[in-house]
Order: sequence, then C-alpha cells, then structure tokens
Amino acid sequence: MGELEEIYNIIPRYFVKERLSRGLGQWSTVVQFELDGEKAFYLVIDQGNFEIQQGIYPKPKTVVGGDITALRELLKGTIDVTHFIANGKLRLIRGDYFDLLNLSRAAYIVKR
Amino acid sequence: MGMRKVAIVGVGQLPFRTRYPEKMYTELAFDAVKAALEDAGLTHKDIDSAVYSVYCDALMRQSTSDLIIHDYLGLNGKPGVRVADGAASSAYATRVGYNEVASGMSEIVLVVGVQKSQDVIDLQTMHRGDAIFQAESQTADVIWENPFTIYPWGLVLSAHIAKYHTPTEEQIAKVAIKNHHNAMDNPNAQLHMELSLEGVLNSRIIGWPTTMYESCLYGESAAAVILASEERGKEITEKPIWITGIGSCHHNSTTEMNLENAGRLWAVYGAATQAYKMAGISNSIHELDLVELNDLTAGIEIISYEELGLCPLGKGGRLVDEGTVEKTGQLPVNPSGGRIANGHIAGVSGVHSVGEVALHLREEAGKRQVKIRSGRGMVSTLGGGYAGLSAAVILER
Repeated sequence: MGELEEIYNIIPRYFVKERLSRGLGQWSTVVQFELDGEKAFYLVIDQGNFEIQQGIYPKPKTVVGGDITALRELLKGTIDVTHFIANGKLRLIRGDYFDLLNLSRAAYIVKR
Repeated sequence: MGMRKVAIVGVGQLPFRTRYPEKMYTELAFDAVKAALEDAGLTHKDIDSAVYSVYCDALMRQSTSDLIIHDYLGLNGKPGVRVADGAASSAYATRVGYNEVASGMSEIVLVVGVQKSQDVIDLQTMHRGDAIFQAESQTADVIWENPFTIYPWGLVLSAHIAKYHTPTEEQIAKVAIKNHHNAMDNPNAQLHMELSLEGVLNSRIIGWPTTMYESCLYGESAAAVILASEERGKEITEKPIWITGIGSCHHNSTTEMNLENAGRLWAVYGAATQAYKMAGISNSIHELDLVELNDLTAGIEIISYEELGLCPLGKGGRLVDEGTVEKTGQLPVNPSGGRIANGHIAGVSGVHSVGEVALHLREEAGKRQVKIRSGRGMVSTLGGGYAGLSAAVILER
C-alpha cells in the first residue's frame, strides 16, 4: 500500500468525531495538501467530522506542503507537528498554523 | 541588635489544580492558612502580622487583594504587607516574614501565597487564554520582547547550550521524566503520569529545545507557612524547622548577552550565594539533603544546578545522567515533582516549596519522603519576565 493510499485509509477509520475531545469536536476548516511529487488532496473538517477528497479545493483555509512520509508520521500521533515544521519536512504555505497544531492534537488523541 | 532565630512551625498546602472554579482567592488563602494553623496548633488570634504573596493583579482583577484576604482571615487591625516578584514572589515573601521575626518586630508571622489565574476573560475574543496571556505578558516589555520569545527561558537555555554545549536534549528530557516520576508519589501533584524519553522528545516544541512535557504547569493554588521566634517556636512544636540562610537577588538575565553573561541565571546564583554564606554552607552538594527549585522548564532546572554550585558551569547534565538528583540519589532535586509535574503558579510555588522542604526535614512527607542525612534542605526560586528574580531559603532541623 502506498503512503497516500494509507492516508486515505487512516482518515475515515480513526479520525471520527466521537473519538475527539470536546474542543476539537467544534473544529471546522479545510486543509489543502500539496505534497512533493503527490497528487493534491484536501481535508474537509466540519465540526469535528473529517472527510478526505482528491483534487484542489476552491478556497482552502490552510495550505500545507512538504513530504508525504512526514504527514503519515504526523497522522500516527507519535510525533508532534512542530518537529516536522522545525526540520522543514512540512511547510505551512498559507493559512492558519493552528490547523496544523489541531491536526496533530487530533492524531495524538485518536491514537490514544 | 542581633538577629533572632526564626522557625517554621506550621505548613499548609493546597494541591495545584488547573482551576478551582468554586473558590475565590480569599477562600483558597483561607484553606491554606487554616491548614497551616492546624499544623501548628494555633489560631488566627496568635498571628502578629501577615505577609501576602500575590503575584498578579491583572489575573485577579484586584489590586489590593492583600487587604481583602487580611479581612477574610480575621486579621483586621494587625500589620500586613504584600510582596510581588514574579514566580519568585512567595520566597521573597518568606524573606520578608523572616525579617519580621528575626528583627523582633513580631513573634508569629503568617506567610501566605495565593493566586487565581483562570477567572479572567478577554472581552473581545471571549477566550480566557487570551486574557491570561495578556496578563502574563505584562511581566516583560510588551512591545519588544514578547513577540520574539516565549519569555526568557528559551533564550537563556539556548544561549547556555551554545556556550557550554550542554545540556543535551536527552538530558533535558530526563529531568521531565524524573519530576513526573516523583510526582506519582505526591498526592498534591496536579499531574500524575509517567513519561517515556521518546514521548517527551516528540511532544510539541514550545521553544526549542523545550517541549511541552518539559514545561511547567500553570494553574491555581495557595500555600502558607507560620514563622515564629525561637522562644515561641520551641513552645509551639517539638519539630521546629529553622531558617538558617536566606537571600534574594534582582538581576536581569536577558539583557547581558555578551560571552561572559549569556546563558547564566545570575539571580539564582546571587540569591543562593547569600543564603549559603548566611547558613555557613561551602559545599552545597554534600551539605544539603534536598532541593526544591523552580523548574519552569526542564533545561532551567539543569542550569540551576550549576548556579546553585552543585556542579561546575556546563556540567549540570551529568548530575541527571549519573542519577545524583533522583529521589534516591545523593541530592534529590524536586522530589515533589517540581513545577513541571507537581504544579506551578507564580505567587504560590515558593512558599509551597518552603513548606515542602520543611515537611521532608520533619520526615512527614509521606511516600515522597527523601532520606535525611545532614538535616538541611534548600528552596530556590526564579521568576520574572527577564529571569531576573530569585530568592533562596536554607532550612535546617
């Protein structure tokens, strides 16, 4: 299974509203991923409900670039996103840094 | 006139919690003072004067909280004074209380630290966190420093690492693991959780190299101690704990970024030096049984070892690697769990630590009790937006 495919499997399986904390259950945003050498995809997060889609979202709130392996690691919930930002493996192209922090927090919670 | 001996005869500690939603600051202070008076077998009528450590007006929306607490405690008509010196406030307050007794002005003095931190709200964003940040940021230059640093801790630590090439990230993480492990035996601790090296290192970077689990907690609490003269102290308890050394030092640690001064905590050094001299301590690592210090971040704890003279400059990480500062080591540091796991709020932590060391010296610290050999312990505090405020207290049984 490729890394992108793995991410497509992880999101609907683990990132469900019922498993998130109350604060993240109210989180709504759209995060566009433009990762190196990968097809674009985006996450629609609506009141804690996650949906992953292929392609380009018209007006995403946040756009993230970088390495798909780093994103896969982030979604495992073992390493905080700040480490990937610090070592340049993930980049905030534009938008809200807190969307990345929240994604990392959600990954940590669903892992637990 | 010679200075009189001063004893700690009563200890009262409330657990650190994220928030006491049901309590006002007056009630928190009351609960801690009641516990201290009960410990000493005294009543509020026995108190001659009171010293209040309340760190931040903005967090309490009250600028004369000491008067209100004084009234609430039933002490109207007696002397009272308030001390505010950042996260070191209540150790400074202990020094003021000490002076009150040692000088002969009072026989029995109450020292109480109290701080509410969560009962504020930003009326524009309706978030408590924004109001708390605004209040906390007033301890540094709000125009220049705050946009660039997470206060001075990251700045001092990274400068120290650049200068001495220590501590390593692993050594810093081990301090967090140690303090969290110690807190497992402390029923008053705010957080009870064992940590792994990987878990600490991979947690959120707060300000390199400090991660989330290496940062102090933030909450609410109150703590109190009762100080007494030698004569009254011996009447009150069979286990008086004597304050044999005390010092304080204001020294801005972030403006002198030249080669000599960068990465130093001169305030900690200055306060400890005064206290050691007064107590006649020349080799601290061999003459103390425990140290409670302000581990506002785990790296700051390691630099503090060096400033307290427990090891040479740049060698603090070794004390961690060699287990010297573990609860079962030669000199346990923060057996309570420290600010990282036991809990922290400026204005309270210092007097909480004074009480904590007194309990250890009385051998009444329960499961977290350390072995008492020389009968001496130390409290070192550090605070302020420039890491420039420190007070140190040497206690002896």
